[in-house]
Amino acid sequence: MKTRARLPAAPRVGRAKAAIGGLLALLVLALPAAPAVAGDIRATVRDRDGKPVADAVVVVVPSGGAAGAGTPPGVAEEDQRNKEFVPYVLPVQAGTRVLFPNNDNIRHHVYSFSPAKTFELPLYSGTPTSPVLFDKPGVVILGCNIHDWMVGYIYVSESPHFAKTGADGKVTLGGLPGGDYTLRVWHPRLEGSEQATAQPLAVPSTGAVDAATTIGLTPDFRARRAPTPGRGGY
Amino acid sequence: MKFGEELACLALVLCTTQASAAPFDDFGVELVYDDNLTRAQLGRDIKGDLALAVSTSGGPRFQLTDYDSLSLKGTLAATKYRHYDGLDNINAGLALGYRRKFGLGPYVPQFALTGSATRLEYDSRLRDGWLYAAEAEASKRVTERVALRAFVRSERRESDDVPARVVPFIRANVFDLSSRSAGIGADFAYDPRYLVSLGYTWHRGDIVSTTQRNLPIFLASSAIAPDPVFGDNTYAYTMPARTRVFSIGVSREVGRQASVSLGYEYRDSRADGGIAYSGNLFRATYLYGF
Ligand SMILES: [Cu+2]
Repeated sequence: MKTRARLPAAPRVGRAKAAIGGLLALLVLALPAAPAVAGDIRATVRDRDGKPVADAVVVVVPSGGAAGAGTPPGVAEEDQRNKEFVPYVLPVQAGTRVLFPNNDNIRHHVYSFSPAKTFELPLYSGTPTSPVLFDKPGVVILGCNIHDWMVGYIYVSESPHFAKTGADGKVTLGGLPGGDYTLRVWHPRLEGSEQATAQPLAVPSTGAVDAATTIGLTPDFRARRAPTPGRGGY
Repeated sequence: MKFGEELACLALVLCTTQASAAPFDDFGVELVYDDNLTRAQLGRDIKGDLALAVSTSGGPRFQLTDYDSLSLKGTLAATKYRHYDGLDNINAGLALGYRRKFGLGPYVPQFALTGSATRLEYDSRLRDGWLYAAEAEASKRVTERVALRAFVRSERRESDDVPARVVPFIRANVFDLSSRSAGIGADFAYDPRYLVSLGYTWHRGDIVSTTQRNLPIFLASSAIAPDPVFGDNTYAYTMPARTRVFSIGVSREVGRQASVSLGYEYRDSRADGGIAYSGNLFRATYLYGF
């Protein structure tokens, strides 16, 4: 699973320098400093109580421009283990195909009603042979019709620059071309819209910039897995 | 083997199976205080007691289609009373269930049919027997915080042997009982981790009241037998009655798979001849679902 956005390798001035040797070295000395290459964003997401928020997706988009090309989207996996979706939140770039392997010894029935991707994988065990294509940006809420408590999220990003926070609420997006960006944060329990979290951010040519975001979280009233007295469970 | 030892053995077996998690669906431990175990009307006859129960259930589930499933569930429960040893029991049952979901997602209506047979083994021979039950339940999660359900249930209990008659013209098989009930319930999540459950059930059918000799109860009863569980001079009287049960409980999720709950139940029964009794039940329950 992707936790750090990858970018195509920036032009490596140093490699050329090594090849052409002293001549180029002289040239480099004679020219003004070469344009900057890449910077990092160290993002932190906290809730209103100041607690770190895990599983928040941090997305950055260049200001006033196209999202830019990243690595071509590949194939990701959303597992089902011990009657839960693993990971709980899977961020992918639009165009990614996702496999839904079932690692339990019982069958699951995965579905989504979300406008970004409506699909259904009727009862199955093992790994369905064909992955599901997620080509429309947005949030896809996953459910299992056998186990109502199973909930998972696929965040389909239009931008190739995204990553998910860890338990410490932190994530680093690396190798971004220096410039102006807009940073947004999404979380399954985000209060308000993702758009409302947008903040401008200047990424330096080299080094890192810190970005702290505070988000409100709504309560998570998903169907309960734990048994309740007097009720037959699954 | 003494009953206490049996209970300890069962608890041990259940705990080890919890660790290996294989064929079990759930495991539970419950403390119950019933302030009117005798289902009696008069103060001198009312006896309460605290009981500890451990239970587990499990079995295969066959998903027939995307929306229908059949399950075969074995249940095993043991209950130990603090004072009234004769009520200590182990019961083992088998339930066949059919469940249908009318569509996709957690908000679609669901329907379940269950038929079960349970073997009842008490420390008092009088209560040993079989319990047969059939139940139909409809349920629906209405919003993310509210779920509703309704059920109808029919029960028949058959005891193993019939004690000698106390009164020549009244039968003595006091634990041959039948009843029908209907109930409604609602769950409300007032917090993501806390679920408040409310229930109301109407029963129509036999109840057993254990009292000292009592003329009005005698006149209303359909069966009478000595019941030494509650004392030397007490008799179990079976009579048809109308019973209402109101229940309220709060259940807290512990992790994703377990819950601790506190429950209260109020019940009152009315039978012919102005016989009425009421009782209160308090429960503290731990449940783990695999
Ligand atoms: Cu499932």
